[in-house]
Amino acid sequence: MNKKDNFLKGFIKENPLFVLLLGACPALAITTSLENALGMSLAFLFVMVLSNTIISLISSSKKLRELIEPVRIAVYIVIIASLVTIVEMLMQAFLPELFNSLGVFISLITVNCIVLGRAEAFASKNSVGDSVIDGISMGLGYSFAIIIISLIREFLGNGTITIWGNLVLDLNGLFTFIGITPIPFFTTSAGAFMVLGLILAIIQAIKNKKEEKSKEMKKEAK
Amino acid sequence: MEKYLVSSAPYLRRADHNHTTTRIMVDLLIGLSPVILYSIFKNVVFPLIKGTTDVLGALYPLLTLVVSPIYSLLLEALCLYIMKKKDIKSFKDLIEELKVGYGIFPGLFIVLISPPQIKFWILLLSITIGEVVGKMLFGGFGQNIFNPAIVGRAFMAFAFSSEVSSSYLNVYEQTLDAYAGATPLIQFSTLETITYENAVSNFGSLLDFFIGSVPGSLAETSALCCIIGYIYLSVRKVIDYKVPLIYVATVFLNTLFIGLVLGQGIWYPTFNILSGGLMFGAVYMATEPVTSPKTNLGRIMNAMMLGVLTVLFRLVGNLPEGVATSIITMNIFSLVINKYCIHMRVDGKLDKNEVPGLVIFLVIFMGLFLYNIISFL
Amino acid sequence: MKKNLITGLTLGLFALICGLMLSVVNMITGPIIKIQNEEKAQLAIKEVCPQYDMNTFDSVEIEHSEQKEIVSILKVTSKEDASTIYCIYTIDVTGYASTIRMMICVNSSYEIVGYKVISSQETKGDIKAHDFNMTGKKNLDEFDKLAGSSVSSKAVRKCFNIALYYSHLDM
Repeated sequence: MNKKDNFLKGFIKENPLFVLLLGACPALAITTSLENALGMSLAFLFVMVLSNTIISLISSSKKLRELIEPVRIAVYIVIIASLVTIVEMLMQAFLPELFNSLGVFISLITVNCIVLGRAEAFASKNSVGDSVIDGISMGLGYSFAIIIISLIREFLGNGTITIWGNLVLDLNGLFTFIGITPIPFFTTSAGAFMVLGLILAIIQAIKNKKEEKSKEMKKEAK
Repeated sequence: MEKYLVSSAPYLRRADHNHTTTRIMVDLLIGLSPVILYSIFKNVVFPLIKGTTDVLGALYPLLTLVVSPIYSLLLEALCLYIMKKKDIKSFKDLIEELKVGYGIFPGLFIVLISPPQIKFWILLLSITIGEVVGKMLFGGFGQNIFNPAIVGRAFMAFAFSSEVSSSYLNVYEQTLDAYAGATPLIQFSTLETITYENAVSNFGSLLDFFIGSVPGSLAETSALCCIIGYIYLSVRKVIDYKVPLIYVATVFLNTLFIGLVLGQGIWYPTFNILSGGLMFGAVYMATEPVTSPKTNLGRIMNAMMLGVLTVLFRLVGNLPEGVATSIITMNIFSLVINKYCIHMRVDGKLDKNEVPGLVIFLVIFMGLFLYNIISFL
Repeated sequence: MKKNLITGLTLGLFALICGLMLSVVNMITGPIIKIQNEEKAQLAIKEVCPQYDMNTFDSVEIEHSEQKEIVSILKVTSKEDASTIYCIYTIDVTGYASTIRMMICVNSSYEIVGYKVISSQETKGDIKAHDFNMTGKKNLDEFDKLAGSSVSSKAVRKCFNIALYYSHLDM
């Protein structure tokens, strides 16, 4: 796998949320506005890259890796948890508004399966450079997914798109133009499940179509 | 244990040749006709006679009643075209697919259980959700887990709760001061002390509930029309006659005990089975062939659980209605009940290792039944 | 055995390093967070009690156990003679679909100075923005209920009732 593939895989092919379905809990809970999604993306990207870096650094020394082999999950969790706590404290101090709206879901990054999953499956087996790229790719892929969900949910549920703070794109005119109102249902968690489910269905449909095509190509080749 | 395969509904009996899917559809429409005719009379003709509105305002419910099934059918055709592009080569193929798809029913049922004055775009959006998400995404007729009509209605109820609760009165009822709350059940759920006077007398007498001249969704108010439809459909063997009977009987029994605890008379259970969508739901929704269990025993279990769940949601819980929610809840368990009962159906007798399942069911049922009563003590 | 011990010690070492890191970050952010929380609390008091001023008044939280609905009582006393001027009640009551939390400020002549619905998820009507017509009132005679939501209105009424009743005992 070259570096470019390694970087691009997080967006579509191995997208953590849309394909691997990891980390769905915070993704469904905080995607009520684009601002929340962006804040979560930043926090997540920070934790993801740093945890991948540190863990691949630890594992790069063979002796140390053998030493922590029986307790490696505990070590990973300690590292990830302290990174998350640092993010949490920084956010509470410097971005209190965002901290309030993200609430408990910042701390939940700790048990977000993607971080631990990448640490175990990728970072502990690959070089530091690759792991950093993997972290960035996964972080951006996750951000991409939750930003899409939050765009859909906020637009349908509120009629607005909150980019950051007071920078709000008001699209309610679009709704009144066709004579309807926004549907607050989509800002509830049930609406989140619905949006995620529909996106998953669309991605699956596209995938199936691609597979069918490649099968037909193979048949013709034979 | 041997494995048995449960294929998807509908099951046609070879005994009578006429019993094709088209035949079932026509029968179902005939069975629905008393309800539809009464709702047209109540919401369209009656306000016109009384002269409380102009023609356009009165015709609104009729318009929704006509447009919804057509819209639903068009959606189904569109979905079929997108999903099965390969199989559908010509227009004729599409018609053939539509014939076995029952495409009009989600739309028809949703409009029948919606408030008469609901906004058009809300209705159409709910039908879209019910038809596309509830039915076609699962693979079309016979493959869906949840009753598509109830999926759409539940979406409407939870997404637009204020819109829904404010559009129950039809044009005639809107001009009357007598109806303070929206429907009898919504008013009932806000009562502090329950007496016959403040629960029923606002809306007339229990006879009005039986005939259906109380505010409510388009077609659910008339118990009489539902019973007529029930008799026709049972005689034609389109639905299982046991399910509505057991469902309503369970609700009646459970609320009878609750009524005794509260010191109310026989009007209390009668009010509960006559009001809201219980009769309509029991006759037309709980008997839906695809999403309800397929064996005799399974259907009885399903109907009993529906009864206690309806009472739980309606009287103990926070939902004034509860019929749609309980049906959708039991849809989830259809698969389990099917798997359990199919062995018994094939063996023809109660096996030793099937007893625990029955015991578990009875414990859950009795537990809920008693819990409903105890929570009023 | 010895290897296991070293493994354990390594884990301990990692935890120690992480702990040190956390404490460093906490040293930087801790004071900022503390100031923010204090400001937030002051703002909340200010909203129900516009006359409140940090420089001339003290606020003390007092114990209360009789009524289970009362979450906390904040006694605002004058710095000069330590006399009680306001009592601020935070009260939880069950409404139609959720628990309604209200903050109600009562002054020493048992009048309601200000009130605010802090959290509620009631289904009908905007209960947070509704004016219940209670500012400057001593009793519930002119309580203006929110149309169309009888249960929620009743719950809010109960909040005022509790605050008015206990203000006579607490001051």
